[in-house]
Amino acid sequence: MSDFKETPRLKVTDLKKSFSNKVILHNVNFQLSKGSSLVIIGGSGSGKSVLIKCISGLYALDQGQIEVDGKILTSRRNGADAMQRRNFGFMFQNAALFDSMNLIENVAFGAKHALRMTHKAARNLALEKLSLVGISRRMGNLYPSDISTGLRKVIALARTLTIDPQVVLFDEPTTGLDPLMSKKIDKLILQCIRSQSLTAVTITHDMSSAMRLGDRVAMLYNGTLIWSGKPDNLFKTDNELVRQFTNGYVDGPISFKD
Amino acid sequence: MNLFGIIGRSTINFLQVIGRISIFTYKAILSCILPPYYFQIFLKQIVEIGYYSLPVVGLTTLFSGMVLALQSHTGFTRFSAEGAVATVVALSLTRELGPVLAGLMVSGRIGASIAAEISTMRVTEQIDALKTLATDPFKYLIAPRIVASILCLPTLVLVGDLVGIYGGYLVGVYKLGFNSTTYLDQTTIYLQPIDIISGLVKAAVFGFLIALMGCYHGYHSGRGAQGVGAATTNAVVSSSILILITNYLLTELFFV
Repeated sequence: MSDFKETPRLKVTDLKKSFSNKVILHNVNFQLSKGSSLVIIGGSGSGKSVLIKCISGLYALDQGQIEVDGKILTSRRNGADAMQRRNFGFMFQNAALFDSMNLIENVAFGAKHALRMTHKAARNLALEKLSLVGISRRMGNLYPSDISTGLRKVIALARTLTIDPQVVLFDEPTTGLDPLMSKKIDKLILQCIRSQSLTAVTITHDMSSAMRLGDRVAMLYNGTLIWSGKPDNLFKTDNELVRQFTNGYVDGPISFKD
Repeated sequence: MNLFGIIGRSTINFLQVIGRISIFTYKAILSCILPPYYFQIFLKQIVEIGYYSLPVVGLTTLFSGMVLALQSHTGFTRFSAEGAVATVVALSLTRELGPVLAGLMVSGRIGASIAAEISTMRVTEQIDALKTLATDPFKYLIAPRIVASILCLPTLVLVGDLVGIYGGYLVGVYKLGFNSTTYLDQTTIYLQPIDIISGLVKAAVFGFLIALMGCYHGYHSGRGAQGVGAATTNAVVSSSILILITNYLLTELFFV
């Protein structure tokens, strides 16, 4: 992921993150061009969620830097500030919708508070984004507790897109969903990425989803990226760690304690 | 484990908590002062903290005023000073009982509610979601609650003072047989502005402490349902203790 003639949309350099002296991520490097989609796979506890939280600025880095269009966003001392975070859209694993607001208000939130739109303009934009993901105006008056997990993720996708981010980060978008809903979410994500030329980083351990969403796939193991390539090569690689993970073998170099 | 190790570790943990609370307080105060301001959230909190606490504070101070009138009458009768009942009721309520009782009741109602709400948002990643939507949780969640609480508590105490004095009046006039005009005269004649002002200042400080502790424990809650429960309990316990300690310090300050 390094043959770039022009400035990459997203560049992660020498990223390191630890919690209580335990190193979670180290020496993570990659860069992505505008409109490209990277899927990061890896087992539970490999540091996937921490990685995209570091990229989005939710966690401050111990070392390294994040650049968007050549501009350094995060440094060692601080996480990103509010303006910097507008570069990133973040779709949470559990959707993280605001449960005191209805679906329209949830989607309008970013437009109202991050983009400083008027109430009416934010609501109109929310309805537009909801229609983009196939949610009707009538349904928009429901609350997050009234809808299924799959629909919550659809709403979270619409909310993520309202602030017009340059980079979208998806934290296990299909985890906990049935195969049909997983395909629907993946289709919507692809549709949004392509129609708006978004750069996307998705973390998942759902191999079908990884194959559908990624232009490239990388594997995170023990806090560092150990392999990257095109999705087609994922099942052809000689890397034993990748082979074990993608084929779901219990025996192999990855032990359960990892 | 040796004794010095235990003492050292406890001291470090204690200092860490003090440090975390101090930094949180500093950031919370800055968020109250600096824009952006979220007026809609602030107004919602005014209704939640002020309006919905009125019945609780009203009932508490009403019965406290009534009990105070009865008990002080029992005491004062022993040295023929029944005439001081109305004055004692008014002074006790405005200077001490009004702010402390209202503070403790609101701490149970609002401190717990703030801590539960914010800790649930923490556990379900809604606070992180706010950040990813370029919204500062301190300005959006914490500042409106603190400012609303600082403004609502004195108002509640003022209402509580009036209701409590009315409770004393009811008992004084209808049970103990005081003359209505004399009772009202005795209530107002010795009451000075500082008595009321000191109670309102106390209330504003208690309001700050209640919201601050609710927000702090909610924001720094642990994971899962247990974390939410612990945050709620800690918010109520710490704000109640702080109210009682601060009450003594402020009483010394206003002591004349």
